[in-house]
Amino acid sequence: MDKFKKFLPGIWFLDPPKDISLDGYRIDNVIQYTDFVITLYFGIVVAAIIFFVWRYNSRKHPHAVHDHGNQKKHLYVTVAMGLLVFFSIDVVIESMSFKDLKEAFWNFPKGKDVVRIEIMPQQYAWNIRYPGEDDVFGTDDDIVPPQNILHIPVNTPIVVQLTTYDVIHSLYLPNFRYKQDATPGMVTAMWFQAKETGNFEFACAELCGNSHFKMKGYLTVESKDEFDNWIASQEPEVSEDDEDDWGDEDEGVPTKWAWQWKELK
Amino acid sequence: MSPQVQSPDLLQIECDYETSKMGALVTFGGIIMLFITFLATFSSMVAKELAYITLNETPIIIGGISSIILIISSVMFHLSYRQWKMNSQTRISIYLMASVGLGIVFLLGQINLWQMLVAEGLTSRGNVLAGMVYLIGSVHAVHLIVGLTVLGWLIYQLKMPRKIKLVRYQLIGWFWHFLTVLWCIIFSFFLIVL
Amino acid sequence: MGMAMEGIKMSSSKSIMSTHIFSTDHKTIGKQFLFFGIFFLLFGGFQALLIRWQLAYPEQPVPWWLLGFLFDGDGGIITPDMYNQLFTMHGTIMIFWAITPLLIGAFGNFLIPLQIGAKDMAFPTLNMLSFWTFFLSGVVLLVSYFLPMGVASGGWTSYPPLSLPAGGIPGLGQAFWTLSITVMGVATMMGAINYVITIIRLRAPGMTYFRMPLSVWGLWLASILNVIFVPVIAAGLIMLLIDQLLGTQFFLAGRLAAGGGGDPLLFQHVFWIFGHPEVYILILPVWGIVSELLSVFSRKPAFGYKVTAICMSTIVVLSSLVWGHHMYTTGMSPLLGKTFMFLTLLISIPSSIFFFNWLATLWRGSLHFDPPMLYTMAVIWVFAIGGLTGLYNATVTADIYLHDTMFVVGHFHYTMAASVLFGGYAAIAYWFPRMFGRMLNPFISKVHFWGTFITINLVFFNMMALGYAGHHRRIYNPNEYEFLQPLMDMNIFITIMALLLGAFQILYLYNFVQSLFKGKVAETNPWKANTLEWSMDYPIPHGNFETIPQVVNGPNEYSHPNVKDADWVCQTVKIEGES
Repeated sequence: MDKFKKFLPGIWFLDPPKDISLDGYRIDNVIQYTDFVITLYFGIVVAAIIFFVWRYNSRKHPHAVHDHGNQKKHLYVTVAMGLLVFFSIDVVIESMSFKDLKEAFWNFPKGKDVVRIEIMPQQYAWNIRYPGEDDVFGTDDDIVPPQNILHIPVNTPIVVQLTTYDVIHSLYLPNFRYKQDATPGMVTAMWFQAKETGNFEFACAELCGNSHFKMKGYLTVESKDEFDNWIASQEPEVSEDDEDDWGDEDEGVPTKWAWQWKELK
Repeated sequence: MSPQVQSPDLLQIECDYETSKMGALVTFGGIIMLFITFLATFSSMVAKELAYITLNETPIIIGGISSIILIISSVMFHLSYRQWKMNSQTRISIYLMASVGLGIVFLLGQINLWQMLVAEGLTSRGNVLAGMVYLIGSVHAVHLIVGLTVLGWLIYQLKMPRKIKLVRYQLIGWFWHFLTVLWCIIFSFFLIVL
Repeated sequence: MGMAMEGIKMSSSKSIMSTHIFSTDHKTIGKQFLFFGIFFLLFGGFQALLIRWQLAYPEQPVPWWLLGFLFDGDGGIITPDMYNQLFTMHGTIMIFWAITPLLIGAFGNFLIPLQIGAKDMAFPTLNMLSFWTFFLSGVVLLVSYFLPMGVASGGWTSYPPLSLPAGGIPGLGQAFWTLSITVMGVATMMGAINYVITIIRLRAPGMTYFRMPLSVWGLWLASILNVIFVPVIAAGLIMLLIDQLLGTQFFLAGRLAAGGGGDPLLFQHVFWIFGHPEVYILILPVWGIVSELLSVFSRKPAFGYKVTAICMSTIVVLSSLVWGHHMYTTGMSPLLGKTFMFLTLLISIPSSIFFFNWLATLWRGSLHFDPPMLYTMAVIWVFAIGGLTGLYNATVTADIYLHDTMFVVGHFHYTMAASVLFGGYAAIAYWFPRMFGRMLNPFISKVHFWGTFITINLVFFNMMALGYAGHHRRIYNPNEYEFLQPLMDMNIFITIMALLLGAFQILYLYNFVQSLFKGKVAETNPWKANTLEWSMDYPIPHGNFETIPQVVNGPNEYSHPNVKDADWVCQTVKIEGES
């Protein structure tokens, strides 16, 4: 696909946010192919309209040709049209998309070097938890940084599991071309990998109330060493033997998390 | 399905009868879609194991008895319709009143049944499946109350000198039988799924 | 409901009450729906301008010409909760109280009996009840503006748990929202049952299904979808309503649910099982009207009439199987995601076929660019863009990025706002002489057409560009995000264009009202059309046809070689040499 990029002009004159992810290019490619093919078809429609308006307006062409377009040959053209659309648009986009899903987005990485993060949005902030030294969630050494602060190491697969403290939210990472809903009562997952360091923003994409627009998070992508240092500098979560798994409501911030990491199929 | 009736006057009259029947069927179709959605939601909740209901025998028996009562009510209506069609005025009202009475008994039986379930702890707030059972029952009951009102209207009309139209009597009957069948399906659905 | 035609006999005693308000005449009811729809269109459009104001000039006082005094209590600015209320009610009103009554209510009522040669609807009284139930639902909706805590603000999709009391929206606004749409659903059902039965039963002799004008086909298919899917959303709304009012937990889960709870995703499924057919319900009448008008103004039969009708029917079937593409980001199983994507993309085949037929209708025609034709051509343009950009949203991977961004907003406004508006304008311009006996001013119509066409494209296309640049939707102040700040110029441009767009609609309103009273008196058949509604003089009496016509032709036998001296022939007139 990369070869095509040079001569496929995007029809969207605004640039998307900088892509810093390993697999974001796949989404850009699908969009680019769709740009190309819909420009083509739309161009045909416009060309046809302009030509017909010029050629067959009533001044130039006062007597229309009586034609129901119900002969065999018309049917063949119509069916050919449908098949052309099916193979040039549907099949291509579908195979690209399925391939990307299979190879990247729904192909969750496994192994030791994967960084696992649990994210639990609430109205209107992001709670983030790292497993800490023992690499197990729900233990005393879990790291819970201040709200809305997400650090990830570069060139390392990140697997995020999400659920929500209250209403539906959606973790939207524009620089990764990705978003995933966090729905009450269920755990959803996403994974991504950064290929560049820097500071970025993430947002809530699903309407969650009056201050939905303020539900912004700060993402820092840094080298593995910097990330380890940052983790080490965070205070481990203080565990309380609280009956209520969801923490003290008055503080607004859950101190303990109700779900354990779920192994995904 | 063809409307090609040559004389315009005939067309109107013919349409009146057939059209009304078709209108009733389409309306039933809409009502069926409503209940299909409820039942699909219900089975999805069961499949996701969001809640559990374990029924002992008493509610099942009460539910069964009230279903039979509703069926008898339907039969009563049919008897009245047959009498009316044969132009024998004698027992129409009695049959119809029996039909209405049994319908009311059914509703009371439902309320009784729900109270029993709530007493067992199956509240609508605590248990979504119980909530769905009450909801589906109530929506059906609302339709039954509409049906009872129409039956009452029918009894009143029969006392009037003006002759009631065949299609009206027939369609009211369809509606009443439809609600009975609907209830039987819902009830057996509950029994199967739970 | 058994009393078909009874209304006609009863209305011999003519009072204003029975002829203009509680009329059972389908033409009067159609006009009532028309005015009702225009009122809500203005109301919803005004809210859209306020949304645009906030996005371009965030937290700046609303100017007087946008009725800034309404916001005096908050220092003249739109607050975040007001903003959420605005876009919630804009969407809700436009879909349920503007487009639905305009196309299905007004033109469904007005056209179906006239075009199929019936004296009235199958159930005239039910028809009247449908309008007044609709009216009631509008009243319930408007009453909610006077609630102490304001109207609903959970988005037009009203996803729980946000739309439940536990979701944090105060007051009864959400419950009123749910209630009003439920009542609207009942009204829609009454209308839809009526339309479906009328078309099946009351077609004039000779009016076979494939002799019906394509506009009737569109309305019929939309009504069938309504009959099937409105009960589905009714079930969902009833559950939502008792969740909101009685504290059940069907759609509540997680921490907010005390005793286990239910599943919020269920509502999304139910909503979109209805919601996706709903967008086709809104667009199908337009497709029909476009197909019909293209033929009239090309003076040529609709190309591939049967194929177009069959394609529309195929889309009706497919539309009920694709709801999952609204939920790709909810964490649906990979298999489901792929299935929904496949089915959604399949829609492109029938769509492209009837699109091809539209263009082929122009081919070798004799195109007359009267205002209705201009609006119709605009539908082709905007629907091409709207339909093609749907491909991005159907694709799972692209949608993961574009979901919940302005791209989606731009896309569905192309299909549901631009296409439907132009379809509505085309229909009004075309049938205005039939409804009111006068012509719309063609010059103002053309000015309005060009103004609307240019500005509407600049508004919605740029919205898609914004979405592609990452601008997510439903946010009060885009400046909150650094990556959205460079897009501010575009936001301002869109708003200016939207305000211009609004100004052109005021021009249209002027044209409408002026022509209503002082327009040029129309001749009986100003467009020289074949269909039955043009076969009698204005005003058409209650009961339409003195004798039910005998139909012998298809709906658009224009420029038939065997017809001498004219390029049209009424559907009831026999053409030499045609069987």
